[in-house]
Amino acid sequence: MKKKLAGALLCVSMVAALAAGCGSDSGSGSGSDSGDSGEKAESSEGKTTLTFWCHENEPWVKSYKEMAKKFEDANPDYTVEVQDYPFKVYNDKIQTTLTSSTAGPDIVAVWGGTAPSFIASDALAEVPEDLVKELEEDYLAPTLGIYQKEGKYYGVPMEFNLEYGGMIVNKKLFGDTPYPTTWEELRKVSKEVSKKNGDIVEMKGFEMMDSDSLICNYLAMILQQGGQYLMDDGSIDFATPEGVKAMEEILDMYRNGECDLENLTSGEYGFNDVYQDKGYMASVGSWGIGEGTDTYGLTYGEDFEYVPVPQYGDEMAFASETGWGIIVPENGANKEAAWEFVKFFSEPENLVQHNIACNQLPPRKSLLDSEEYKEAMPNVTFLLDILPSGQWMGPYNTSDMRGIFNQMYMDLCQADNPDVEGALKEASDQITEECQIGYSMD
Amino acid sequence: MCSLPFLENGMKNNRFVAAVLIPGFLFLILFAVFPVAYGLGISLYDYNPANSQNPFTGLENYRRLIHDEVFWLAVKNTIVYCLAAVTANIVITLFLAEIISVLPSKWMKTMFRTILFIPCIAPMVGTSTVWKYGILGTDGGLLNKIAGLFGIAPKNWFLTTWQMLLLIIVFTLWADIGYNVVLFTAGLEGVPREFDEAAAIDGAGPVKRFLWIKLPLIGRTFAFVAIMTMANYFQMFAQFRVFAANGGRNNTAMVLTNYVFKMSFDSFDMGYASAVAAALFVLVFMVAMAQNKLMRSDWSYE
Repeated sequence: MKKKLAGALLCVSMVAALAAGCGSDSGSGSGSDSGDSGEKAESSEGKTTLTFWCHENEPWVKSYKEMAKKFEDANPDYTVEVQDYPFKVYNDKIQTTLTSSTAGPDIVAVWGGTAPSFIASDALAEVPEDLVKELEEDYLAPTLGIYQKEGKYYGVPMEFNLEYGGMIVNKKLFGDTPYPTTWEELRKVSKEVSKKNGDIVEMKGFEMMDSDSLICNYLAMILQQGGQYLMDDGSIDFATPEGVKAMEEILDMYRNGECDLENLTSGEYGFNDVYQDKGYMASVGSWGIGEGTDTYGLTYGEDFEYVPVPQYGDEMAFASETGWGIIVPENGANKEAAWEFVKFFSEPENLVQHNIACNQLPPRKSLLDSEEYKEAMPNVTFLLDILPSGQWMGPYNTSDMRGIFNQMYMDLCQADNPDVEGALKEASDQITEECQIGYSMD
Repeated sequence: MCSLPFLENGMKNNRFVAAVLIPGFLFLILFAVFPVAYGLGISLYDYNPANSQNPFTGLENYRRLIHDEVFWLAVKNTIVYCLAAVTANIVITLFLAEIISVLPSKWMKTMFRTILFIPCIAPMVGTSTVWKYGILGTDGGLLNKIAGLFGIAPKNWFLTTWQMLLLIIVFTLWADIGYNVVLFTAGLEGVPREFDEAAAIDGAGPVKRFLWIKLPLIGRTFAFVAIMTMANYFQMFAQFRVFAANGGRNNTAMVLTNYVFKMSFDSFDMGYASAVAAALFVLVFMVAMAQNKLMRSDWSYE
C-alpha cells in the first residue's frame, strides 16, 4: 500500500514537473512584464493594454516609450506596453506572431524593406480611411510606396529613410583641412589618407561599402548622370552606360585601397570605423549621428560632424526605399484602439518629436518647413532640401535586392578581369526575377 | 473459472510495459512523427502560414528543387562537409581516446576527457560567434594576428570559398570531438586486456595492436559513433548560420539546413523550404541505413 502511494505521488510529481517544464514562458520582450500579450486586452484597473513591438535601438525605444506615455496621458483608458527585440530575430518574431490564430501584439514597428513579406499575406489590417487621406495628401511619395497593395494601404511611415546624402566625418582626423565639397575632392582626399594592409584597409578614406550605403550611393550615381535603372515594364536594368560608369567608379575605390569589404562580409556599418578613428568619411543616413553620441559617447562638433556627400553627377537625384513604419496585425485584439495610437503617433506635432529623438527625417511634407525640427536638428537640415528630388526605389523586396547586389559587387572586386556589364546584367535579371513584389500596388 | 498464474503475471507485465511506453510513444508521435508528416504535407502547398489562402501545388516544389542550382550546391556542400568532418572526427577522436585509455592514472584520464568535453557543453551559437569575431575576424582576429607574426598580410576569411568550408569543419571538430572521445574511451576500456597482451606477446607493436585488435573489437561502438555523428552532422546549422548566413561567397558554404532556414524565414517560402527539408530527411535516412548495413556486427567478445 505504501509502495502504491509512493508510486502515485511520484507519478503526480513527475507530471507536475513535466507540465511546469513545458509551460509557456511569459514576458519574452525586454519591456515585457505582463506575460502572453495575446491574453491581455484589459488590465486589472479596467484599462485596455496595447502591446507595441519594436526592435532594440536605445534612442528609438526611448522615444516609443515617451510616445506611449503621452498617448496614455491623452487617453486614460489605455496603457501601451513597449516591447523591444534584437533586430536579428525581429522579423522572424513578426512573421511568427502574424501566423498565430490568436492575438499577438497590437502595433508593430516594421522596416519597410521587409514589409512586403507581411503585406503579401492577409495578416495586416487596412489603414482606416481618414488616415489614408492624410497619407495621400501629406506624405512624400518614396515613404509610401512599399505599404500599398492593390490600391490599399497597410502601413503608416514613421520616417523618410535616406541612406544617401549625408556622411559622418571624423573631425579630429581632418583637423584644419576643409571637408571635400566636390566628388573629385572627395576621391582625392580618400586616396591620400587611406592605408591598406592585405585585405584590410587600416585607415579608410570614404566608406560606402556596407549593406545599406552601397546600393543607395550606386543608384544615386546612376540617377545623377541622368540615367535610370527602373524600366517602364517594372524591371531593373543596371547595365546601362550610366550604370556601368558608376560601378567602374565604385570598383576603382576598392582597387585604390580606399576601402575594404570587411563591413559587407561582417554586416557592420562603415561609420563605426569613423567613430573609432579608423576612417575619415562614411556615408550613412542621419540616424548614424545618434550612434556616435549615444553608443560611442562622442561629442558632435568636436569628434565628428555630419555633412553633405558631394554630388557625383550634374543633377541632384537619388532613390529611396520606404523606411520604418507602423503596421497593425489583423489578428490584433484591439485593432480600433491600435489605429487610434497610430493616428496619435502620426500627428505632425508628435511625429516631429519622434523624428528628432531618433535622428530621422520627417516623412510628411508639412514637416519639411518645421521650425521645431530645424531648430532641434540643425545638422541635418541640408537633407530636407534634397528630399523632393528623391524617387521611390521601386516595387522590390529591397533586403533581398541588397543581398544580390552586394554579392555581385564582392565578386567583381575579387575578379582579376571583371566583366562589369555582364555582372550588372546578370544581377539585374536576378533581382527582377527574384525580388519583384508579387502583387499589384495600384 | 480457472486462473493461470503465468498468464495473469504476463497481463500485469504487459499493462506495466504499456503504461511506461505509451507516454513516450505519444510524445514521439506528437513532437517527432507529426511534425515530419506535417512538413511533408506543407511541401505540397505554396505555403505561408500568414496567408489566408495556401494553394495546393502538388509536386511543383519538388520540380523546382530539381532545377534549383543552389539546392544542388547545398547538397554537394552538405555531403562534402559530412564526409570530411565525420572522417576527421573519427580519426582524431580514436587517436585521442587511445592515448587517454593508455594513460597510467585515472585522474589524468578524467582531466583530459573533461578538457576535451568542455566545448561540447557550450552552446554552439555562442562558440561560433566567438570564433567568428575572435579567431577569424578580419581586423584583430587571432588567425590574422598569428599570420602577422610570420609577415603574412591579414586576410578577410569571409571572402574565401572552399577555405570557409574548411574553417567551419575545423570549428566543428573543436566544438564536437569531446563527446566521441568519451564514447571511444569507454569502448576501448571495455576491450578485455587479454587480447591486447596476447598480441603484444606475439610481437605486435602498439599501432598494429590498435588497428588489428582493438579497433575490430570496438566495432559496435564504432558503428554507433559513425552513424550518430553522420546523422548529427547532416543537421548542423548554428555554425553555418553564424559564419556564412547567406551561404558564403557564391554559396560555397551553403548547406541544406541553412538553405531550409533561408527559404523559410528570409524568403518566407515555407512550402519550398519543406520540400528542401524532405530532401534532407531522405538523404540522412539513406546514409543512416547504408551505414547501418555496412557496419553491422553479429558477434561479441563477451
